Amino acid sequence: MNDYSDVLYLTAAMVIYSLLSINTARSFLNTSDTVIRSDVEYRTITRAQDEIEEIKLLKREDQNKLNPNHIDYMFSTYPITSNETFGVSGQYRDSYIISGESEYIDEGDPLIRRFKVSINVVNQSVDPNVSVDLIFIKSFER
Amino acid sequence: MNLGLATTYIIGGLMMLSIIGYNISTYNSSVEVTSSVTTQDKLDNIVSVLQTDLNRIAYNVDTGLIDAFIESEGNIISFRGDIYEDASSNFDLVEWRFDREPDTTTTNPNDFFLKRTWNSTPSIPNNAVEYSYSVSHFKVKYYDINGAETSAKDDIIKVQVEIIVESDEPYYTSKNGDESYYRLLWKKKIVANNLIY
Repeated sequence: MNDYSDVLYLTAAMVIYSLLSINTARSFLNTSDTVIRSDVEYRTITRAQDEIEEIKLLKREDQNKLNPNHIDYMFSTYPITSNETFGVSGQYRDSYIISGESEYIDEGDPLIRRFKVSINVVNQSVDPNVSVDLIFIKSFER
Repeated sequence: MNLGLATTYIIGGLMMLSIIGYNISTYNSSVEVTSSVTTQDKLDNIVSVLQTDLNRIAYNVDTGLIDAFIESEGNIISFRGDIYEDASSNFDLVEWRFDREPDTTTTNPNDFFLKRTWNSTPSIPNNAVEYSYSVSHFKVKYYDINGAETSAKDDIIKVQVEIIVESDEPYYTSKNGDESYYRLLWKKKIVANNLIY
C-alpha cells in the first residue's frame, strides 16, 4: 500500500511540475512575441513617417496632389506595396502595404487651404499584422 | 542494491536534469529580454540625437542652403546647422562618420564606432567635441526633390539613414561557441525643414 501511495505522490508532483513548466514556457513565448512585435511596430511607424515626409515636401503649386477630385491626386494608385531592404548587403527585408487618402478641410480661411492626410501602413511579417495610422495636416497658401 | 532505492535515484536524477534545463532556459530568456531592452535603448539614444541633428541642417546658415552640406558620402555626413540655437553663434558644424573602426569596449565583434563631431564655433576647429556610439552598420543616402538619389550637395532635399545596432553582449552562446546578438534595424528618410524652399 505504501508503494502505491509513493507512486501517486510522485505522479501528482510531476503533473504539477509539468504544468508550471508549460506555463513558464508560454510566458517566455509571449514575451518573445511582444519583443518582436515592438520591433516590427517601430519599423512600421518609421515607414509611415517616411510617407508623411513626402507630403511635407509638396509645394504650393502641387497642392492638387492632395485634392481627391483632381486628376493629379497622388493617392489614386494606392494602396501600394513597398519592399524595404536593410543591412550591409540588403540581407533583411520588410514588405509593407501602404494606403493613403487626403481630405480638404473647409475652414473658410481666405488665406490658407488645409488638407488632412491619413496614412495607413501594414507590415505583414507577423501574425496578426502590425498596422499603423498617422494623420498629418498640410497647409498651403492660397 | 535495493531496487526501490535505485528507482528513486533514477527518477530523482531525471527530475534534477529537468530542473537544470528549466533553469537554463529561464536564464536564456531573461538575458534575451534584457538584451532587447538595452539594445532598443541604445538605438533610441542614437536616433534621437541623429534626428535632432538632421532636422537642423541648414538652419541659421546665413550663406544660404548652397552651403548646407560639407560632405555627403555613404558613410559620412557633415553639414552646417544651428543645432541647439545657442546665442553665441549662428550655425554649428556637425559630422557623423562611420569608418568601421572596431569598438573594443564591447564583446560584440560586429560593433564599430559611429562618431559624431560637433563644433559650435566653426571658426575654431579645436573646439570640436567628439561623441562615439557603437553600431554594426550605418549608411546614408541622399535624394533630390524628385526622389532620385543624388550626390550633388546643392540638390539634396532628403537624407535617408540606415542603422543596425546589436547588443553589447551575446544573449545566447551555442555549444560550438557561436554567439547570438540581439539586432535592431532603423531606416528613415528625413526631410530637413530648412531644405524645403
